[in-house]
Amino acid sequence: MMYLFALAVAVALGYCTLRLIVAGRLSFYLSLFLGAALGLGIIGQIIFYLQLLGNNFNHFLPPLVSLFLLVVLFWLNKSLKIQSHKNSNGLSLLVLILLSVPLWLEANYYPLGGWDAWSCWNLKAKFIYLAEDHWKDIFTPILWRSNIHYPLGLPTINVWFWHWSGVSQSVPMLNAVVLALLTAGVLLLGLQELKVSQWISIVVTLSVFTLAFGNTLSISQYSDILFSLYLLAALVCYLLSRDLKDNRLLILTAVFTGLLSFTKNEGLAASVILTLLVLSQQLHRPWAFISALIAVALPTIIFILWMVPPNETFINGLATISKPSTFLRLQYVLVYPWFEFISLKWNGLWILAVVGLMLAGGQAMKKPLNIIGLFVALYLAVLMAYYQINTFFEIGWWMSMTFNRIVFALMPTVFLWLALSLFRKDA
Amino acid sequence: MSIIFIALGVPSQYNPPMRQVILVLLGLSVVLNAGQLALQILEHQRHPSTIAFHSLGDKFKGLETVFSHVRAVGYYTDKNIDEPLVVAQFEQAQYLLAPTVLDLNHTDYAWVIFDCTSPQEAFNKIKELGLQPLKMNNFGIILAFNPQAHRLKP
Repeated sequence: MMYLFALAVAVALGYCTLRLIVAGRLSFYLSLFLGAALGLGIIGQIIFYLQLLGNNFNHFLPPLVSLFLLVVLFWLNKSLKIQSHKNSNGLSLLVLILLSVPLWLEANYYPLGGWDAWSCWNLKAKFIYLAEDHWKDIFTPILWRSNIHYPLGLPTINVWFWHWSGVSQSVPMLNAVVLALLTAGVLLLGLQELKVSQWISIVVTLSVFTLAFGNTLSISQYSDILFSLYLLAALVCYLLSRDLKDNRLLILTAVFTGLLSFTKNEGLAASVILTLLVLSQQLHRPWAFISALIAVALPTIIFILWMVPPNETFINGLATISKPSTFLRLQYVLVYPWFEFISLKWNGLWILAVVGLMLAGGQAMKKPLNIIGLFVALYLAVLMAYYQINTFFEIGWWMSMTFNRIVFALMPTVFLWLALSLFRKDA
Repeated sequence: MSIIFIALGVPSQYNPPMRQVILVLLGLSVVLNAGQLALQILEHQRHPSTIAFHSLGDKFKGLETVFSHVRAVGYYTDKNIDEPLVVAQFEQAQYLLAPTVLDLNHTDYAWVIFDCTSPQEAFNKIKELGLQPLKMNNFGIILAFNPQAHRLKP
């Protein structure tokens, strides 16, 4: 019950903020799903700032600040005149409710989540919530196995819920289900807002979110699903801003890009690439975008400049002779992804996506849709370079453990691109 | 085929055959995925306790109350830490006992947890280090006290 209350506060915060930015521009349900994603990000940032200021988890301030902010947002929203959109999203909502069943059943099967859930993400949350004034012990090199250099987006969200319902494994478990449903919802409703028919949107969304392997990764309590959500939300808002010729949606793109940067280190790389691509396509009056981005990415900037400990799992293979970056490693790095994409666990979805995008041809590479293709190419190139340069881990083991999560997080975005390239009504 | 596409809302001028094929394949992938997912869920419901590494932390239950105000403790093991099962057990112990930091194979703390290949090995090591064994649980996990501890913080 308290979990639902905590979720409702987050959703209300996000929804009201979103309404202030893009009043009436989006359909109610898409606003609700984007608002929920935004609200969770806002809550996480409140926890982070209060933790920094107090150097301790204060049990009084997070609810006080959040509820005060909510009251202010309600008051500001009161004066807004919102156009009503008549949408028939009943079927889409039914699909999302149905999707919640397998997610919930599998989440219960893995109550502790995957390895990195207990080793990294939920461990950080426990330090923030329980360690009082020595919460920064989470950055001690002794804990190098726990990715101590990763940012705190997901842990701070989990801490918000723990504050209301007590420390329990059910919270990260439920949050994983909620984040997966939000991602599915943003894809499904975002496609419809971008003029893909409801039925086709449903088929595309189901093809991604019924995948057994994807279902397992969604409920693993990793930050990959949060990455996936914010990346998708940023791109949906960007494409809508171009579609509706409304720069307020560009501000929302900046907000989600900023939140993306605090999900994990790959999220930081992704947000930098996305920012450069958006600015290259949208050079007219970029300052609003940049200002919003800096404001939302401030926790990431603070984390990088003043908090992040040295990455204990990094060896620069270009500057060492003990573990050099070899040509053999490069060959492996370049070949492995192809085997991943054709792996049976994806049921041919990546092959289908590539074939579909090739068929779409010019349509897929036309502005502004080409931003997705360029993003995916640059992002994978950056990650490949990192795999090549960082020789701390044996490359075979490392890629087999991590690369599937990277492509899983990209999947909703790639299928957004595919569906818009092939099935948009005015294509 | 065209009737299906009209029903799906695809505009008639925009349904060349290959796009129809992609849509049909996407539909088939939903059927295939959903079938596999259903089988996976049924299998998991039938055998709920088959997850690898999922109850390793249980061996350390109870220690969290002992360490409720302890910032860091030692964790000694003579097992090969490169083995996934061994490192998983260590990391789950860390998760269960957080925010107390476990320092792997460092024993100069007031409290040291011993997780050895046999209790005898653990007791030999405890004696060698000059520690005092305090308690052993059913899983062979031993808690020892270090009377000469000088390093209480990580």
